[in-house]
Amino acid sequence: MRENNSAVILAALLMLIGPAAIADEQRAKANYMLNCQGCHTADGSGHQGRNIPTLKNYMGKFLKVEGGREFLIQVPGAAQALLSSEQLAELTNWMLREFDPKSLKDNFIPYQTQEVHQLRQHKVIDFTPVRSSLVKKIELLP
Amino acid sequence: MLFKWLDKKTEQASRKSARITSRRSFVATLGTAVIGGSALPLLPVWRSNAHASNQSDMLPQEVSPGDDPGDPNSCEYWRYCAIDGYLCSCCGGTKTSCPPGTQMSPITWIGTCRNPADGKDYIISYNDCCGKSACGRCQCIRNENDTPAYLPANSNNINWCSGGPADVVYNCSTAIVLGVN
Repeated sequence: MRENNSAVILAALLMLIGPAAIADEQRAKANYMLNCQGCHTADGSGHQGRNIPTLKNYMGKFLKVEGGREFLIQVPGAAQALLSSEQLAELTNWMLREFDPKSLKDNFIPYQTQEVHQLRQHKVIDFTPVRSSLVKKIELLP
Repeated sequence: MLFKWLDKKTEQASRKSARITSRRSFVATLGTAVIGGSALPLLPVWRSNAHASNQSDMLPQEVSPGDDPGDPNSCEYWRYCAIDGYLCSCCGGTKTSCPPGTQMSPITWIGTCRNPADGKDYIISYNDCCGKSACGRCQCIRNENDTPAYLPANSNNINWCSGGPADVVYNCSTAIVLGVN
């Protein structure tokens, strides 16, 4: 009887967790399509001819330099997206895993809602020089 | 022994070729090869990789929305809910492909439309076709869920051809289903 109960509880938990995780991934993917893909393209490669940066095999490198973790949320396309901080955190985590899993190998800490909410409060007025200084730091990475 | 045999075979072959072919025929064959070789690239073969960069990976792929009711040549067709421009399906292309002589802009704006067949909201990519002057047929301005130009990612008032491979000239718009919202 006891075993039966735990099996039922386990099954119920799996039913709760399973679809929730998939639903979030689908929501993140849909949010990417609706908020990012128009310019960054389906595979995240962007468009060099129009200065649209590539996310593919690059985005995660920002996490390795000082100020980069903040930048990924404060960049206008992210900070000003018509998304709640919860969904922006979920979307950014999804993008990092989808487009640049290689850079995430060493202990990636996913963005949390609260962190994203706080980072969005701080507006970066002129983000171009901020980005170029980060890219310089990335180029110096080993 | 071996060399003798080789000598004999070579001599036989050259004598035979001298008997049955003329020197002019060599020139004629060479001429055919040169002219034919240079004409080969002019044949109408698919040369999608001939651009400096291969774009096909960047262009969206249509995902079937299941039942797809309505007329793709009409502004009322469900997936044109946020369109602003000429329908490629009236301009020599289709709802998902560009007319001959134009190129699809890889950069685009993306919105959602409700499919009346199942009541679900589908994500639609409105890729513009560029490189020939405006088509002028089937102008549709529906603009549902369009955002102002200061939110450019979802604005249809931008010329998405600008800066693309065929540059600024806008011809018509497609409506490609990317998935369900």
